[in-house]
Amino acid sequence: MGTITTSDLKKGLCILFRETPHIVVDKTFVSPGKGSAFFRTKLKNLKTGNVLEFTFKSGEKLEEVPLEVRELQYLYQDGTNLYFLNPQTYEQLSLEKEMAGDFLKLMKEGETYQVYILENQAIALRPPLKVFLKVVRAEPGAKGNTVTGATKEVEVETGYKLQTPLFIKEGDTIAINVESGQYVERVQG
Amino acid sequence: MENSWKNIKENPNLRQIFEKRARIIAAIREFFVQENFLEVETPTLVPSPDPSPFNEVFKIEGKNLYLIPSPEFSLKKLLAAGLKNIYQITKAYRDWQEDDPLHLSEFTILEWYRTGADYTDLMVDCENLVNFIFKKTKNTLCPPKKTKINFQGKEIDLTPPWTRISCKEAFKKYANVSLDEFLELKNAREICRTKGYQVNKKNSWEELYHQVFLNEVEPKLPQDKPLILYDYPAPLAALSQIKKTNPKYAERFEFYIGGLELGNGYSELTDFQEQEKRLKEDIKIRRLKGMKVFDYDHEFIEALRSGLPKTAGIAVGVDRLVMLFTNISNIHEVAPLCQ
Repeated sequence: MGTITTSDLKKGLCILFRETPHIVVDKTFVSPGKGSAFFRTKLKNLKTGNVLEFTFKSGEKLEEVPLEVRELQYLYQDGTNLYFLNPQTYEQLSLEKEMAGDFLKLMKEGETYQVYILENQAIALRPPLKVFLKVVRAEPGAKGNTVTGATKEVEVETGYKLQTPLFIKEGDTIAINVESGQYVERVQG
Repeated sequence: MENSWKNIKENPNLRQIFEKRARIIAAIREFFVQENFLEVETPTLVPSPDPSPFNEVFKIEGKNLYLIPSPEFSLKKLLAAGLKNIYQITKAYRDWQEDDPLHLSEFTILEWYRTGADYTDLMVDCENLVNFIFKKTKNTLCPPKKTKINFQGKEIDLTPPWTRISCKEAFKKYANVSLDEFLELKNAREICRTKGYQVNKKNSWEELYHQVFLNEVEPKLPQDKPLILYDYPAPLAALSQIKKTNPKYAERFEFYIGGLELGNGYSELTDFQEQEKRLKEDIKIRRLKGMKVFDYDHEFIEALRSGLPKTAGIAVGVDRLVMLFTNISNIHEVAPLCQ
């Protein structure tokens, strides 16, 4: 463990908060009107999966919990867990579904993801900034539909549905921003 | 999405942001014309900007000039010169050390000063202005029946009167803290320690106040209507007047819509000696914090000394108004091409 300060806080870092390891899932700089700098964080409790918000004064000291990140292949899910394979050791690791949070809807079997490991247990996912998924269902673009804006709904291979520009068609691969869940760009068509 | 011209080209939806911004600014001007206000322009390059130690300023290389963090000092000089009921829409600049979704280094600010008025009159101005903008910018193809907007999944009824809550009431209700007691640094430290916050000797009273406010009060402020938080503790008076009836508090307010802080208004401080004292104090803090240091604006103090009429003034973030009316949560998305 090492001591860090709020300026070292970044997404994915694990800190000891109220004596329990928490992963920083979000960090934003906050500057109240006529006030000092603060850091508003979302912290995921690694024991319960609960996410809480806490705002630190700039300069507060924190304890970092060193975590290992491994590249694991996502195999399948059941009612409660996600199952991963370590392609180097063929060891299988499970992770509670809740720990994947919103990222679950963008996860594809067979893909490799970064997983946080603490004492040889998978404890959380480290989602990428964006994912590339194939469009499996898209209605043909409607012309002249300007009231609702020039977007339409499509479905990608994981079953997730989102709004894209009208030119997106079935079979296209699109990039999706993981945090917002929104369309970024067409990768190939 | 990236803030580039290519994005605007590829995504015709983004043009709506420009259209909305233009309509909002046109509505602001129309509102103030109706209210008999005079639109003025003041410099954005000045030798002595507002020294508030909470905003770092940009300095022009090789010159003794800074980009304004707000047009407040110049506008007050115009009031001292005899202009009444004035407003300005201008670019202002603050050098933020970290990127965040609510601040731009270059932003658009609206300030207005109502002479003969106090902060309660400004609260009514805010209600009227926001409702006027709503009326002027609503979708004409399918106009909403009620004065309600949707912001980030929250439905907010803009109809006046808005919710008004004092800082003292808010601290009691949401953090179970007596602000009268908390005002003493010794008590503030004790209360924060009991609540489990980190407290050390270097922490200023303001930091302790804001840590409780940001963790326990602000997230719980009701959002079904716009909210006016008023009567700030005297140490956070900034450029506002201390209340005559209770010197522990200042005639300052901020208003929030859907959790978004949009404006900060005061019954303006007119006492030149008190103002000079606060400016010197700010510069002292700047020096301690290693921020840019410059002489304070002597002309501004001279203007106050000659006599500033009783005035109430407020700054409203125009980019944040655009966020509100376009339902966008990140300020960088409503100011394409800006830093």
